[in-house]
Amino acid sequence: MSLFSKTYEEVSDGSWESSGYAATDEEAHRDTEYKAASVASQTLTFMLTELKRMSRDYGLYASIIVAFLIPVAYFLRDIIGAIDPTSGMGSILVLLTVLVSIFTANACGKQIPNEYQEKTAYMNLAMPVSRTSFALGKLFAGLTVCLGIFMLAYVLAYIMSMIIFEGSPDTDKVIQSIAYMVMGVVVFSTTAFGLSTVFTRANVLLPVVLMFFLMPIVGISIDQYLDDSIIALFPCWFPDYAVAILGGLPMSFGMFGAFSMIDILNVPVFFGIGAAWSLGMVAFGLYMVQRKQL
Amino acid sequence: MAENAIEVSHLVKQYGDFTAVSDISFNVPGGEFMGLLGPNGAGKSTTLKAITGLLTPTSGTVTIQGVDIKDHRKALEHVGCVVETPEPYPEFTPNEFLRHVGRLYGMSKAENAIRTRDVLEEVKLWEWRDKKIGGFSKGMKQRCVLAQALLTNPEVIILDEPTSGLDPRGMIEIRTLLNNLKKRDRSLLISTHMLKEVSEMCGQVTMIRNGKAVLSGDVAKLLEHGSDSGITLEVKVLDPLTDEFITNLSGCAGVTGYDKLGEHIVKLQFNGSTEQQADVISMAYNGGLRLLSVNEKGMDLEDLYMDLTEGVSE
Repeated sequence: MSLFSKTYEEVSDGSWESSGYAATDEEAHRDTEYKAASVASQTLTFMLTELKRMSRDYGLYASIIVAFLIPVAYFLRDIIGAIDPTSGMGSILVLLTVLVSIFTANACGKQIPNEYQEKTAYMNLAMPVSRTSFALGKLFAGLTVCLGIFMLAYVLAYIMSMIIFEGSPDTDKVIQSIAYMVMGVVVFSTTAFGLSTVFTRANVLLPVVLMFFLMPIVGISIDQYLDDSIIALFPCWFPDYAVAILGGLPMSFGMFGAFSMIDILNVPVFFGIGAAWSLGMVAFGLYMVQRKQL
Repeated sequence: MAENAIEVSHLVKQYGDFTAVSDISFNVPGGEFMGLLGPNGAGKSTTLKAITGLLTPTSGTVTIQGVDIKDHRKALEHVGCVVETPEPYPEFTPNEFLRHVGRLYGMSKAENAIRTRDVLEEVKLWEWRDKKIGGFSKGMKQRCVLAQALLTNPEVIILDEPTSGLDPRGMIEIRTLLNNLKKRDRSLLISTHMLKEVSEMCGQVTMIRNGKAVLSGDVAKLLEHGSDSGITLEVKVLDPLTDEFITNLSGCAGVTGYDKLGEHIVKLQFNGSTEQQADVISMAYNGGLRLLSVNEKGMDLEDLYMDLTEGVSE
């Protein structure tokens, strides 16, 4: 299964078809000195390489299948219980709040430890590359995949919503919801990335556990000391708000009794905190990769 | 090219209380091959990792072609490395893997494709160019990372045990390939257990023991200096050795010790004049055990290595 593969075919005159360059062997074998590509170009290379690797990972295809299944959960509402069948597109997307942790941990939380564990980092980092490019390229690849999967889920939910509820959902709310979800994916992806750089072995479970429990537990445990208007600004709520805006009732809201928080949400501050959190996690991840002693 | 391809000066690497590398200094002159020898745990890989920027030294400096390794990107621009037996991406084919490497060096597709063919032919992997690396044997993966190190035709090559995991034929092929680099005026730093590799390829050697460089320099000069302590005369006779024969030989002037190897061979440590050496041979001839041969052996790298690593378990 290969989405990005490209092969070169040697042709009889010694040049290479599909390369777009018609040098003969003699021309190409000149004593060229190669220099390291720019940091931006190396970042792009690492990103493309990671995407190519992911395209050959069955986990990615499983994620895409799950993205298709997210809207299907609507039909399992009697089992899940938290879905209000009258709440429109939000009820179709309820499972997103749970799956965002799993997807981001899988796509962004294991690439760096995998590089250490599989010893591919010894090859990549012994070349004239910037460790920042190395780490960012991998993060961007994971982020791209996660965003793609969640966009796919939104498209499917939108179509299903039109069929089930016989009418288009409120476009403004869908756009707002997508904005929350994108920010949520960024927050969770960068968190998974930052935490994963601490480890030298790929451990999918740990980022999942940390993201499932760490942020909500911190939020709830200090619930006694902080008022709701502050708890509402915790960046872990982005996916929940994305669903809530569309009328869904996220399980975490019900569990923590914080459903009303959306009414007191200061949106610009909330997004600012999300961006700051993400940048902090990326900075932490880059710092850990920079100081890593192989 | 700078006078020295690699300069390591007072390199120290500590992990807490443990000192992995202690004040190591050596230079690899431009266009020369240097072997880094030492028993397991001596600090060879740590030294190579510090040279290639994979870890930061506690103190000391490393420069490659005059550029401090702290400027990692610039220092490694003309360097090809294989350190700590890295793994190429198993999902990739050699073609794809080298395309990834070529991109990091800003190679055009065509240059990349042709250089890829060149190096894959050199490491005998061309026929496997479109097969997944994950299915390769350890030796084939080793060749693949070697191809990566050679892709940009680098001026300085740093290899950590490049023939480990290869079968005898593979070892010879890699040695031949590396020897060919001499003709291209390349500099090589190779860490290995294989004394044969160093004696066949390297003009320079640095021996490390317990994290310290115990010896460094030109192989020929070191062996010449080592030979000052004497030579070995290996006496082989047709009839079984007797105590009388051995006592007579070991009593000759210039003989400093002996070692009986089986029933027909005795090895004499000799540090005397040529006339005394002739007397020893004459004594062996007249010993009545029908002399077959007397072989003179000077000090070789193996003796030097064994002397310097005495008491250090492999």
